[in-house]
Amino acid sequence: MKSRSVFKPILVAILIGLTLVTSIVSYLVWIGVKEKRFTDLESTASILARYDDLALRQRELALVSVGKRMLDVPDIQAEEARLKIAKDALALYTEFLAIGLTRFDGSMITFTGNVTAGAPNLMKSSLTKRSFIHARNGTRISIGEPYYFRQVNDWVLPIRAPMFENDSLVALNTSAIRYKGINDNLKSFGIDGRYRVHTINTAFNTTQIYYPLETSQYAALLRKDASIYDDLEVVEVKNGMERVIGFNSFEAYQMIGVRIFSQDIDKAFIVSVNSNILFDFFWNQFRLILLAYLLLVSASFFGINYLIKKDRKYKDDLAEQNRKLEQQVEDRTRKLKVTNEELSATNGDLNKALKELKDAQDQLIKSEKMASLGVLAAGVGHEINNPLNFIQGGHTVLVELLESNPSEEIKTYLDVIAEGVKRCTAIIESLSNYSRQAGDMNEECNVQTILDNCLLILGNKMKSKVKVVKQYWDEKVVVIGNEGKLHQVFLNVLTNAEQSIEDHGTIILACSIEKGHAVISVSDTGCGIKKRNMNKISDPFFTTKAPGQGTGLGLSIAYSIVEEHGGKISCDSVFKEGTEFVIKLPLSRMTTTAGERVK
Amino acid sequence: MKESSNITILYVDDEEINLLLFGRSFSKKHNVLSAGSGREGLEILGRNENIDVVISDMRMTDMSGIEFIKLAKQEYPEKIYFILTGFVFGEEIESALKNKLIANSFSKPFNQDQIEGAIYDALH
Repeated sequence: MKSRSVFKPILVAILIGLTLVTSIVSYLVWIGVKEKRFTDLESTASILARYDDLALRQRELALVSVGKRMLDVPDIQAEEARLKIAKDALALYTEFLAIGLTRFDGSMITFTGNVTAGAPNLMKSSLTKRSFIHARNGTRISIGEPYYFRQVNDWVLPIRAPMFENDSLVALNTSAIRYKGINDNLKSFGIDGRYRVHTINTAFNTTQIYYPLETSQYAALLRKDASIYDDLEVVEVKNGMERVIGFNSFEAYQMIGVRIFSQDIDKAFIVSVNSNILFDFFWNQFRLILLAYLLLVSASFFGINYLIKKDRKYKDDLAEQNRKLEQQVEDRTRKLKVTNEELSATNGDLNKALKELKDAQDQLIKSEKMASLGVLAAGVGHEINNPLNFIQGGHTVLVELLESNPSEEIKTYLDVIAEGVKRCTAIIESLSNYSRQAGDMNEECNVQTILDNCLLILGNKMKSKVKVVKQYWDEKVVVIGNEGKLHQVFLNVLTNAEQSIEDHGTIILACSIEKGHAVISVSDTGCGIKKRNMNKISDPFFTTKAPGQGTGLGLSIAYSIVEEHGGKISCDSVFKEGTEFVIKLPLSRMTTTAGERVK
Repeated sequence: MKESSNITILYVDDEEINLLLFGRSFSKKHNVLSAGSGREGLEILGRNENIDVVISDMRMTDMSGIEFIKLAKQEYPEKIYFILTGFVFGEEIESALKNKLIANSFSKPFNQDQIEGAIYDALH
């Protein structure tokens, strides 16, 4: 999901931020601790220094001036010049070096200038060629030639002093004085006898072991493995037991080294590192790192946990969504299936409806024609009938007046007038049938009775040439409508049938019930209707009869009446063989409830 | 029961030719009075108590045949009324027939025998 992909980088950013903050805080705290430690050391130093502050300051200044001179003349060629520098230094540090080699128990170590076997080669050469031996209280000290030590980026002055006990050499103390500072002048002390056996190495920079100086309260040891500038172990020695209490850096070593400069001989040996301070420092650092680490771990834990939870929720959601989706798909599919079936069914219905609609449309167009014809007929009828009345009336009077004069010619023309009026009247009368306002539509009409009436009316014409076959429904067939108009319909159809038969023929008149409709069929063996005329038979004024024989309105009116009754006329005809008209009219409830029967 | 010659007919029509022809056709057997409008018809009815049958055209200028007959029948309900019109179909005439305001209606051009028959039926 989208929200998830956005969330992940945010979380990572938070983790990174936490780490950064933790680092910064721990760094700041470390700085603080360092400062504190320095402060502690400084305070210790100040306590020590207060014995002879002034003297210490003077020595510092002197040392600085030596360093400067050395820097001014980097390439010292002249033996004399170098010797002079060394002498100056020696003169400056005579007292100091003597102090540095005071015995642990408080008594002084005496130095002699004798360098015996076992002393390093370097020392030897230094002693023979470039070293100065300074003796004080019977002890000799060798001071090597100053050289530039790249690792500390400074000039240093090697100082060595053999250590004797009962006139035998037990150690060679090696030290170096940095010109630049006074912090790291004394590196170590070697000692033998009741303290510890030690090895004195031949090379200045190789492994040497230096043994502890012990005081009343504190004990510290600077033990140097490998280079003097490498990391140092800080060892606590108490009651003859040696214990490593930590590792110090070169910086820490320097700090330790600085305390050697005290004029108070008895206390000068204290390499005053408070183990607690160191321990606190390491503990603080460790604690801080631990805290940061814990923070980081917990942050990561919470972050990861959150991610996992999120992921699980996401997966659950996804599963749920999936399930819902599947359900939906299933539902939709089922619905679609149903809809499809419905649609197929509807399609069929629609096709049927379309056909019906088309039929209805045709019918509507036809009825529209009829309706306008009705209005026209009413108007024309009324206006024409008055003048017709004049003609007819005039004719009648003329006939009367001319009765006394029986001229055949006059008679003929009077008849012509009479015929004209008669035809006009017939047409107007027919047209009047288009008027829809005429007649009730709620009469109960017995179909069989109406058919029989029509046959009766046409009786005379029929008798001679047509054989009528009646196939009537056993029970009364009743439709609701206008009896007079229905008479007109059947009269018209029957007249057509009769007129279609030229010599002799048969008319089958059938009446039955089918699907809630009265079905009246009139079929004849007459001349039939030409195919091209089939769709014109219901048009008003369409006729194939001779002039005066038919108006062409009869069938059109029949169609209109049947339609008015909610029924239908259909026609099937084969030219020169015969025609069948089928009229379907909705049954009245009375007939319908009587039930349908197959005839 | 009256003899044909004793029957008095009032014919109302706004066309003079129609009045002339109707009079010419029926006056041989009956006593025919003519009116050119509904109002005139009502006047004649007021003057002649012996009128038996009233036949009126439908479309006239001052009032329609039905309107005229309605007014007339209020005053003289015992008389028999007919409509003779150019076009017999219409709601007015149908309802008039239904309400027995008129005994029958005839279409122009009139058929004398039809009208004679109807009059005979109505009076007997």
